[in-house]
Amino acid sequence: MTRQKLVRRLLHILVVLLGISFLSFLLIHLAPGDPVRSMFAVSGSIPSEEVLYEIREEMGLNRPFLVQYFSWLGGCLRGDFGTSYSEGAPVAQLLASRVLPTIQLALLALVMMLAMAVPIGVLSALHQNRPLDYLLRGGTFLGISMPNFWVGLLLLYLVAMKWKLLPVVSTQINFQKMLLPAFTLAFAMAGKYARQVRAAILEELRQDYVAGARARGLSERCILWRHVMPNALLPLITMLGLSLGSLLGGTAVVEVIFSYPALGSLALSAITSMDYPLIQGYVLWIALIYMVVNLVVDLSYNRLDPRLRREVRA
Amino acid sequence: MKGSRIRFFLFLGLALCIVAVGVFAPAIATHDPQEAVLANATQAPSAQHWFGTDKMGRDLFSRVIYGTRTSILSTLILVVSILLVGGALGIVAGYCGGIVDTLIMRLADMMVSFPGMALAIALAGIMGGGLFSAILAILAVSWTKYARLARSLILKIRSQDYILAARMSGTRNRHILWRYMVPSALPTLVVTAATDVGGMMLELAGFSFLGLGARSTSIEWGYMLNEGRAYMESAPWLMIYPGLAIFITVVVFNLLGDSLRDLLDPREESAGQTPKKKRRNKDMKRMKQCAAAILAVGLLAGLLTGCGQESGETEGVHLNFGCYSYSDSLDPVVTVNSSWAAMRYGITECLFRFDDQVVAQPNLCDTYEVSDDYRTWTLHIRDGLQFSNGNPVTPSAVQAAFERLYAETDADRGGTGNSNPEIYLPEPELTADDGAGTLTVVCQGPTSNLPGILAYPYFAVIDVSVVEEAIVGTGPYQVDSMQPGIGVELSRNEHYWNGSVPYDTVSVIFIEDSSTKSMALQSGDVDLVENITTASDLQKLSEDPDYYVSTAAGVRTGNSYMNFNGPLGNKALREAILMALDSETMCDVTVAGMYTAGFSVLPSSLAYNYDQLTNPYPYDVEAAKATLDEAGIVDTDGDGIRELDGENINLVYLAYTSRNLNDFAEAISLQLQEIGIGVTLTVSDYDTITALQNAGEFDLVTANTTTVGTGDPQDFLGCWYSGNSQSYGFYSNPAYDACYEALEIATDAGERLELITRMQQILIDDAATIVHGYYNSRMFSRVDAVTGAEIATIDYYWLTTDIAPAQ
Repeated sequence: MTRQKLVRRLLHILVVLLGISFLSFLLIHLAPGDPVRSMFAVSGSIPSEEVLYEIREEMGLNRPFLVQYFSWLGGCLRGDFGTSYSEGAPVAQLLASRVLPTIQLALLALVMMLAMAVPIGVLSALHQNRPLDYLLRGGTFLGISMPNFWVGLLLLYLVAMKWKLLPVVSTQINFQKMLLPAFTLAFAMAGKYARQVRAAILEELRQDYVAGARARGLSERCILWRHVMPNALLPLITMLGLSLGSLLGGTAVVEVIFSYPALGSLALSAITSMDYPLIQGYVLWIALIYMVVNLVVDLSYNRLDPRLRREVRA
Repeated sequence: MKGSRIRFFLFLGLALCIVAVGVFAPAIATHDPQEAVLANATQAPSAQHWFGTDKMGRDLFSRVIYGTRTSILSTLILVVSILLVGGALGIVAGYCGGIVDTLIMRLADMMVSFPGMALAIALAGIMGGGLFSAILAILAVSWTKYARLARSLILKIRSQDYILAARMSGTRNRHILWRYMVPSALPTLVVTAATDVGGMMLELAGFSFLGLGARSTSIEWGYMLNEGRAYMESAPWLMIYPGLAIFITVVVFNLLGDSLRDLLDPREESAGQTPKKKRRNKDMKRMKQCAAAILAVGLLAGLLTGCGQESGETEGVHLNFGCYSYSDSLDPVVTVNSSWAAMRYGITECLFRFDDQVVAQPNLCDTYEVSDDYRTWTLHIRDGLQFSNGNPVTPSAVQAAFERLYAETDADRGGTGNSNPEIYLPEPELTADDGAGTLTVVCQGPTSNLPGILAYPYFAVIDVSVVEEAIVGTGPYQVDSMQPGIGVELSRNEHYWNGSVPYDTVSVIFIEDSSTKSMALQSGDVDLVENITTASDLQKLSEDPDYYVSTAAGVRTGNSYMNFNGPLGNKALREAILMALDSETMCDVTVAGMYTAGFSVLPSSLAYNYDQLTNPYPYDVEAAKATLDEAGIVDTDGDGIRELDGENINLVYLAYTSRNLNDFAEAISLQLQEIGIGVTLTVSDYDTITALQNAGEFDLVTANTTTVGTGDPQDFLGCWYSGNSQSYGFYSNPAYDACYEALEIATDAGERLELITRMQQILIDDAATIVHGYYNSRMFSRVDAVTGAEIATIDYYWLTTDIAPAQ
């Protein structure tokens, strides 16, 4: 990718961030909820309309929609993402406290997933339509056919409660605490990826160059690892990018079950309590992460696939 | 080739069978899927009910069969629309390139990074919620995946030689697109889509898990599964059968996807066997061994690393307390929740404290005097009090804490806190006399309930001089560290004034999920947890002698307001409705003991003469029908629904999904239909419901309210005062209004009690509201570790000094 193209791409990111922030601001304000009412939901007693009006006035929620948006945007440009209604802390600080655990969990889940999916996919492709293939594919069905929360609860019940291998809850974020949520996420994804790996390898094995390589007398191992695998795994990068993006956005279901403090549960509570500044901050973060990951994916595509490199040069 | 065709038709047949089950559901089902017998709830599978019954006493087999319709249809609609939208846009982007590509892919970037949950909630609000908004939300986010996939496929195909050749030989663009590109991209897209049928079904189930998907009014597998989750141990069939239905469907559609792939790809068979088999097999064998080894290592490494280390034990007597975290802040000015949190963890205290009858008793303030007009209160602060950091608690320190509370929550003075002390007590004039040890509070108007108000967690006495660094109070424990989302570390307050503090250190561990709370208690990771709300966990722990469960009929009333500006203005109809409802069964069975049944708007546990009240409308279905018949509310056109003023009665019932309110609304709808009253139930989130409620678009609307937040029910009773009742159904009764107006100015405790008692009876006699019951609070502890773990009636206090290590 040329420098000019890269600059243009970065400009795109800015445009998208602007668009997404406006879109989410609009949608949240169209929804009939009311952050002020939500603040009183916990106690169940709702003050009179006049009091509610006054509080809205204080929070600047009675201003016209566009005024609110631009005042929020102005704050962002100055590095002030606002203060969360429900937590009282700066949005940037709240998000920052959840980012590291989110990244750790996402990476561990991806690594675990690849450790399961790639061997399964390869084995099952090499044994195509034979018992092992059916067995492994049956196993991948399990992964993609069971609801996440069900697997999570089951794991928690067996591993932590019955066998006591891991604590159910703990007071610090460490490897132990991440293991079960990461595995739950990996288990569901592995089924999907293993199928993709299998399909991709079979697809490549059918290509003419494989026949050519065989004709030239290359060893099967060489064909598989040097020729088939790079071609088969390349399209997976796009998928991996998407998965990483959605993992970095937080995984509310798994976080809730394992009491893991990542972004998903923060976002869920922000949404249910109509915490506008926190929702906005979250949306911006997700948008940014997605686009950065996608940019990296595209850049790596250009670097890894010689055919595309040739096209760029041409 | 032949094999794959056979397989394809086999799986297609199976898939069609599943669809047929949906189409012919009425013929297959053994019962009406909506027919409920509340008393027959959660029965095990039997000859009569093949899959058992659900928590409303409905036949699960028939529900699973009927569920096929909703589940399959919604999933298929979702997948097909994602495929069409995403695939088309991706192909166009990949083929056209340039500005079109940029536009589409930027839109994809935008949508993919939009949190689906936020979208689902926004759409639910705009369009009325339920499965459809969940489908739209998932579609809006998921099409991008297909667009990207399609685009990358097209890009890959575009750089292949035959396309170049076609282009050089002058083939038209449209021809290349339709003849070469789309057919090459389609198989992968279709296989992905076929695989996604299952994934999307699970995605919809996940939305239901978070309360954003299907509502109780639709018969859907995902919703059934989530509903069954609460009964995982006591009635596992509620999870097994809908789960099995999902599982089988997912597997069938996945197999169909696979075989479709084989069929669409004629080159498939050639990949397998070619000459040179022998050498290849040898190589293959080694590779397989390699791959198997990697697989095994990967799995083992995951398991092994988890074993071994135990977290370091802290010295001294330690308590692990698991609870839901409502706030990551402990500062009373931030929100209602943060003020409650600090008090619940035993960090802060107030001048007054509620006892178990929710009457404010002296606490940090030991004596007080009040002027005749109830405006000037002179509070004496206990002598020798210290904050947990050793600073003295003087009247001026209390004054500083209160003044900060008002300043920090007043935007005009630059305050950023969202707490609202003003709604309980408009800012008073405060004068501290440290010499006499008194704080004088001059209220803006007569305030007979000041002790109750000052017992509210907003008015926690904290050390303002160090508030920038930490929240320091006078409670038995002080904060050592706080980790947002994870927990709080507490240690003993060495300066505690009221007896000894049993624990040296306490870890407050935040647990979001109710089942996880139960498991953490059973595994020994925590010794104490609050409010487990999943039915089967509740049942299991209550029956097990190793655990102690303390239950208090709390101060929250669950009720449904009736709208008097509609059919419910008819008193006979209201009376019949109350008589048709089996309140005991709903509380004990339908919501599994989460509520204590009662007929007055004020909880029976409080000191408001519940025993002296009489209920003229006890549960009696026949009497209910007779009342309707007598009032001429009968079914003349034979459609099973009675008419009022010539029109079918069809009540609009709004319920929000919190504290089992939706369960009550669902059970009530079913019972009312039994006596010929039609109900249209809308279940949604709190915000959507309150918005509809404010617009007056309801006949019945649920609520769950803290009745005595400041130790006095006046505010709550105001919901039926004709001056305030616009949002609560326009109830109006001059006798009630007169009592309420008298209550507003009454200061004598005896007089107030009499008025409050009379007002309760008026509401009961008028059949003014449906009381569901009183929400129970609970505290669970391990008998071998903890003693004295009682739950307070009002939920401001969790960690108290009564909770001590077991001997």
